[in-house]
Amino acid sequence: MAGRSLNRAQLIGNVGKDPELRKTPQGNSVCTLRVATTEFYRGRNGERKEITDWHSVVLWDRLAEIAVQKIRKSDRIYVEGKLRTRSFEKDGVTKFVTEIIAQNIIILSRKQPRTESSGDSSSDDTFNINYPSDYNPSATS
Amino acid sequence: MAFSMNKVIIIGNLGADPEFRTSPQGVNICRFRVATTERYRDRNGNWQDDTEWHNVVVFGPAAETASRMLKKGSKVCIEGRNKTRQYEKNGETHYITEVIARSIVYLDSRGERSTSDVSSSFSDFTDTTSYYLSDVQDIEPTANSSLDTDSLEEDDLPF
Repeated sequence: MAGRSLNRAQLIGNVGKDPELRKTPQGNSVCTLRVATTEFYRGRNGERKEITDWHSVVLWDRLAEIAVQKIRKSDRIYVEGKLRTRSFEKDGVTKFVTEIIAQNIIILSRKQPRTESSGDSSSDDTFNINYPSDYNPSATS
Repeated sequence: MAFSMNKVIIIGNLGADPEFRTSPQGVNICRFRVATTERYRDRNGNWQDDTEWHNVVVFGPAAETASRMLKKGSKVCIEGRNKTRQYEKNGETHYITEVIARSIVYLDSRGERSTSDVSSSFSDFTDTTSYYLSDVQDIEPTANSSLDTDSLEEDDLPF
């Protein structure tokens, strides 16, 4: 039995580069955001240290299409989703990669104001998209 | 510098008994894999199970507790941070993503449920951080760790 389980990841961090929209052979939109989180802590001698972690966040379908219009490098965003590990072949070797499949994104602040070129009249920087509960991105990949 | 957040919460079952070892620096390390299963309906309306495997790492005194409390099949709740590190294998650079536990709840212990707070095992939380930050880089992947992850270059993606 599947039982009760939970697979939840939440990030607040900065986007490393402009997102690019791609299409799967089946026609699904997808884009990957690289997001950096930085944590600060005190070393054993009281010195201030920081550690930066990079995360791969995958957005599907409508979320991807909106993200490429609204998100730019250095924007600060909140991401909520689930962890997923998948495999792919490279030079005959099976490789694995762990990503966060985004289910909800909020733009918290923008590095620089930009002129609206997408034709979207909305001035709201925040957008939330929740996939329907029966939607499963892995079913389309 | 503004704040940021790196938080993972998983509830699931262990796929195998945990591994316990002590690093060359004397820090205890407990590793195990946790499966989470999500159920959804496919396009034909049939129920499908989607199982994910997560690599969990516990450092410090909490590692001892985890290795004592957990075994294959145990249900557990892990809260921690998502961390990708790299290592060399056969001359190639590989990447692996792990959940570094901050707190653990043992969900199927008989009687009262017990909690193990990783940070409270130390004099303060920052010490915990310096422990796992310094050690994560040093640990070789275990033999049964199949999650050799590659650098996520855009060109590598199969779509």
